[in-house]
Amino acid sequence: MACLRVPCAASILAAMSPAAIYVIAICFAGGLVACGAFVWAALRGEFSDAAEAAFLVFDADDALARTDRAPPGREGEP
Amino acid sequence: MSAAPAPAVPLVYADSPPPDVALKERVAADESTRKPVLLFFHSAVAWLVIGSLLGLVASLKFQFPDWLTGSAALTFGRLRAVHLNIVAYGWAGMALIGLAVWMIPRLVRAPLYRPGLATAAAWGWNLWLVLGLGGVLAGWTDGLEWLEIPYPIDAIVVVSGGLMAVSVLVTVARRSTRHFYVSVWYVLAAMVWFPIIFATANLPIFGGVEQAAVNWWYGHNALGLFITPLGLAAAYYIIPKVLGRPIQSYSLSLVGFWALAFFYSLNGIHHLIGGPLPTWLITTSITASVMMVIPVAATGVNFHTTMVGRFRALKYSPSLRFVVAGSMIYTAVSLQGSVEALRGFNRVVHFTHYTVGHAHLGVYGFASLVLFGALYFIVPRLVDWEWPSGRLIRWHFWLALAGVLIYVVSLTAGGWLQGGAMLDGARPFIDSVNLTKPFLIARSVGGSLMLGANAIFAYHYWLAVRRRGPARTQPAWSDRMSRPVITGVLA
Repeated sequence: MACLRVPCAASILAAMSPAAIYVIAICFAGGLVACGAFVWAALRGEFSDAAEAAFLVFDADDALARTDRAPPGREGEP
Repeated sequence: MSAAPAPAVPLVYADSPPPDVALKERVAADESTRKPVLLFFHSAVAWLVIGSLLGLVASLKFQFPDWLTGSAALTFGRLRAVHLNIVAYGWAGMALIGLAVWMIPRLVRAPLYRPGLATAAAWGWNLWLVLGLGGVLAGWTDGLEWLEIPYPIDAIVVVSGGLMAVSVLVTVARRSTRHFYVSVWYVLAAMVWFPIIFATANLPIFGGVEQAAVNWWYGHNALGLFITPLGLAAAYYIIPKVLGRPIQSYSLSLVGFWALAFFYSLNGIHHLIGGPLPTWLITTSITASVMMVIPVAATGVNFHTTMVGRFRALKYSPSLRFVVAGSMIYTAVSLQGSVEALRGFNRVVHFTHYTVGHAHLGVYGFASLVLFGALYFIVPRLVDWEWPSGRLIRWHFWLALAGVLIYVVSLTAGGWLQGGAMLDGARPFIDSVNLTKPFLIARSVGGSLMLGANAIFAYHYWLAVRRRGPARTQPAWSDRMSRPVITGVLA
């Protein structure tokens, strides 16, 4: 009788197809992975000294600036 | 006496090794990725031309409905599906993966783990597309949008994607940097998300309404959890790199990433507004779609504030010009998507050409423009040869931009009028068809311009990788603008 008033696990599972249960399980696992990644990132300081990471993009680039270089005499233009 | 200029902030990561060591690491990283990245890029450019040609043929069928009807393979239903799959997986998918493979070793400062795995993945991806799209043209299809390729053939891409993921993920695990740059976050997420959604959506266990829900959960996530993160990863790499200044707020870039991670996956169900699904499911999807304003605003504001005061750089850098145009369109198309998910708005534009315009604004206006910019940056570094012609780059940019804008504006206006006509019970249905005719002609014009732009790019790409044209000491882009060179110093 309790299941008629307040849905319990058994009644919810009975109402769902196996495919729906599979999708929910996948999404739940994906959510756990995402939350785990977030916590992991926070614990290893990804967010606390984030400004430092912004400089990672500037590696020891090749000597030629290639197509994106300004022409001679205009290198300093903003 | 003038004040001494403030010393420039060195653009060096705190934990970087000495410059000579860093240079060796960068050269080793580039060397490890050259072969697989070129294979991904060659394939992507070929698919781009084929895919956009088929798209134009499909569009012209609205003006010439009796054209190419002799063969079932050339009818609208099959051509349109093949066009979508080629552009989404062949062009955008392969180019974005190639881009990720090139960026990751640079950003984590480690050579690519077993480049042969990535090369095998590229061949496998091509085999999947050739067999799968051949099947679709022959009439063998799963019959679900974005999932038309028969699921037994999809096993090939699951294996290819797995090889690719192993190569990239192990490379990241062997990194010599303490942090992940924001582009690495986006690439890693896409490498994890895409296999999950693709494999799940292709399981032959769904039916009826359930299948429709899973279909659109996948369809929208293929854009939002695969194409979008890889496109943003490219923008976060190219913009600071070309400008020579870090992104304005690195923290905001992380807010954008994590907000996308938490809100995007529920968006797809808004495609089924009005369908026989539980109301809570639709409402949850609409809410998540509106919540996407947070990552989109975070990303758009960050890109804009990074560019402020440096817009002149767009004049010299084709990479920046394409990427900035694509990033601005990303903001626009994403906000448009949030509005489209609202019930009142969706009621008008659902089942109209408006949605087709929105999709092209996303995949071409955002993803393709960013990709073009990224390729202009990367290809000279891969083949050690400058792009041969500044004129071809300019033609490419303006044709691509004009083409996509004509396409989107015409379908947006036509789709809105079409939706209004369909909702008007006093008008016959055929009115909603007839009134779209001029807009569909404009669509074909826009499509022709985009095909022209893509063909120019493919030709130019072929010239560059074959190292044709003069050996330059200056970029071709500056040919025209460098004539009145300012050599003096202004007082």
